[in-house]
Amino acid sequence: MFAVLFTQVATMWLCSKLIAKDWSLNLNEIIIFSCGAVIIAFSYEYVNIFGTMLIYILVIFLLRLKKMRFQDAITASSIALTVSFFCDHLTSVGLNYLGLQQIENNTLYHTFICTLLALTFSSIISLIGGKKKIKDEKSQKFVMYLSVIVLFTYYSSIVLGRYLGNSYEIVQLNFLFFFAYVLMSLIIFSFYMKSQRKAYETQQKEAEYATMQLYTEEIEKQYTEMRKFRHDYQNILASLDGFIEEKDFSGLKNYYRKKIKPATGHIAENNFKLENLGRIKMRSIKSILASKLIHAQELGIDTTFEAKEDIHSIPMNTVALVRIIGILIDNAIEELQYLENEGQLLVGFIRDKSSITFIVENTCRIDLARLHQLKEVGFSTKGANRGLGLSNLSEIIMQAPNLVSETTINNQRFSQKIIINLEE
Amino acid sequence: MLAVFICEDDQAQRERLEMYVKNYMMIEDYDMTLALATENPEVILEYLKENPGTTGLYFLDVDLQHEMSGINLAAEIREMDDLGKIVFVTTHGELSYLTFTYKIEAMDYIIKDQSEDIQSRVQACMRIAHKRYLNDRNPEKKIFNVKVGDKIRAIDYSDIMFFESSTVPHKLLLHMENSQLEFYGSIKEVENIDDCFYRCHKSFVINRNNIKSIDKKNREVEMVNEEICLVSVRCMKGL
Repeated sequence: MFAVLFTQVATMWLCSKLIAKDWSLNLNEIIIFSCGAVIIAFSYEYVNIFGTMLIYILVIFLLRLKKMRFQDAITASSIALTVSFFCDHLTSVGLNYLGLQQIENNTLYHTFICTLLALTFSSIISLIGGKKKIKDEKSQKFVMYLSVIVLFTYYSSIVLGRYLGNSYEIVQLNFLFFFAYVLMSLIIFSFYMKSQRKAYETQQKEAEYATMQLYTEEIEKQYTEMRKFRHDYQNILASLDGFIEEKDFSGLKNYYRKKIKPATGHIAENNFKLENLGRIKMRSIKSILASKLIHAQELGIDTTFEAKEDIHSIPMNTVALVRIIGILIDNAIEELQYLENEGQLLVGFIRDKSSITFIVENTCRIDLARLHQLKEVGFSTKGANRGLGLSNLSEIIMQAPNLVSETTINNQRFSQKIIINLEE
Repeated sequence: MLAVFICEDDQAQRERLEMYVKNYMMIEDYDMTLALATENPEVILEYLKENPGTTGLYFLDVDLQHEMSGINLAAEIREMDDLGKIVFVTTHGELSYLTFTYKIEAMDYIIKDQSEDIQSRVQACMRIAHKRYLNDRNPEKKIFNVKVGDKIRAIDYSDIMFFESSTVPHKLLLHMENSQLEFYGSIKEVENIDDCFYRCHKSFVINRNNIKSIDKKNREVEMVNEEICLVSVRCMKGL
C-alpha cells in the first residue's frame, strides 16, 4: 500500500514537471520530495482522500523551488493531477472491462499501467503546449483558472463517489463525466483563444487607423501651407512685375534682398520633410513610420524621411519589420533627446535592383560608448538594467533569413542599415 | 585623365558651371578635360557606352526635366563607371542625403540655393576628385571586397579588426573600428585570403596587424578597437 501511494505521488510530481517543461533535477528537489511523499504516504490512513490535496500542495511547492512563477506552477500541477485522476479511472474501467481486476483492489498492476498512461499523456500535453505558445498574461491566467476548476470538479466528483460507496457504476460514470468535461474545457479554451486573437487584431487595426488619421492631418496642414505659399508667391510676382514695368531696378534689388531672399530660408523648414512617406505603399509600414516620425517632429527633432522610389512590398515578415523599424527609430529619438534635440534624424528606404535598404541615421553624442558595448544585453545609456533594445534587434534580425545589418558610428553620427535581399 | 561631365537642364546654370570648371582646371593645371556639358542625360550615357573605361567627375542636377531623374542617371553612370566621382547639384528641397550617400555613393552634393558658395564648392569637389583619382591608381592597397545587397564594398585590410561567425549559418560579421557589417560568406574562405588573417578560434578570424594585446591566461586577444576575441587552446601557439 505504501509503495503504491509513494508511486502515485511520484507520478503526479513527474507529470507536473513534464507539463511545466522543467527538465532538470537537483538534490534539494529529491530530498524534499522524498520527505513529503513519505509523510503523505504514512498519513494516508488518517487523511484518506484529502491526502490528494496535500500532494497538490507538495507538487506546487516543488515547482516553486525551481523558481517558476506561481501561476505556472498552479497550472502545471492542476493539469498533472487532473491527468492522474483521469488515467486512474481509465485504468480501473479498462482493467475491469478486460476482466482483470475488481474496482476495490489497487493492485500493483493497476498502479503500473496508470503511471505509464499518466506520463504518456503528460508528455503529449507538454509537446502540444510547446507548439502553441501562449504569450500574453491574460490567456495564461485563463488557462490557470480553467485547469484549477477542472481539477476541483474532478476532485469533488471523486470525493462524492467515495462517499456514495465507490461502486463500479459510480467509477464508470465519473470516468465518462471526466472525459466529457475535458472535451468541454478544450472547446471553451479554443473559443476563448479565438476571441482573444480577434480582440488583438481589432486593437491593432484601431492603432493603425489612429496613425492614419494623424498622417492625414499632417497632409492637410501641408496643403494649407502650400496654399498660403502660392498666395504669397503671386503677390511677390506682381510686385516684381511692377518694379520691372517702372524700370526701377534699384528698387527691385532692394525688394529682392529685403523680402525674398530671407523668405527662401523659411521654405527649407520642417514642412515637407515627410512627403516621401507617400512612396511607401504598405499600410502597416507607412503607419509605423508616420507614427514614429511625426512624434519625433512634435518633440522638436529635425526629422526627414527619404524614399525616391515606390516601395510596394518587402519580402519579409511584416511584424518583424515593424518591430525593427520601431526599435531603430525609438533608439535614435532617445539619443537625440539626450542631445536636447540638437541634431538630425534621417530615416529612409533605398531600392536597388535586388535589394531594399532601410536606414536610420541620427546625430549622437561625442562620447558614445563603442558599438560592441552598446550591443551587449543589459548595457544601456539610459541607466542600469534597461538595455534590451539592440540585443532584441539582433535576435529579430537573426531569425529573418534574408537580412543583413550594418551599423556604424562615425563623426558623431550613428548609422544603422538593414539590407533585405529580394532574390532567393 | 579625369573626364568632367555636367548635366543641367537650366542653360544659365549649366553655362555657369562650365565656366567654373574650365577656369579651375586651367588654374590648377589638372589632368582633366571637360568631356560634356549637356541637358540631356542620354548623351552622357551614350558617351560612356562608346568610351568604356572612362573615369569621370560628374556634376548632375537632380531635377532634369527629363524622363530620367538625376538620381536614375547617377545609378546608370555607376554601373558603367565604378570609380566615377558623382556630385549632385540640388535645391534644398530635393536634397536626399541618404540616397546620395548610400544608393549612389556620391562624393558630395552642392546646394544651388546658396549661389555665393557654388563656385568654391565646385572647386573643392574638383580638388577632392583629383586627389582620389590619383589614389585609385595606387595598386598597393590591399582591399577586401564584400557583397552587400547590390553593391560591392571595398574595405581596406587595415580597417578590418576581425571576422566573427554568427549563429546564423553562412553569415559572418565583419568588425571594424567602430562599425559592424554582416554579410554572407564562410569563415573558411576568409581565413585564407591573406597572411595577416589568422583563425584563432572556431568562430574568429583576426587581423594580426590590429592586435592590441594578448591575454594568455584567459585565452583572449584584445584588438585595437577594444573588442575581445576568444582563442582556442590549439591556436594560442600561432600567436
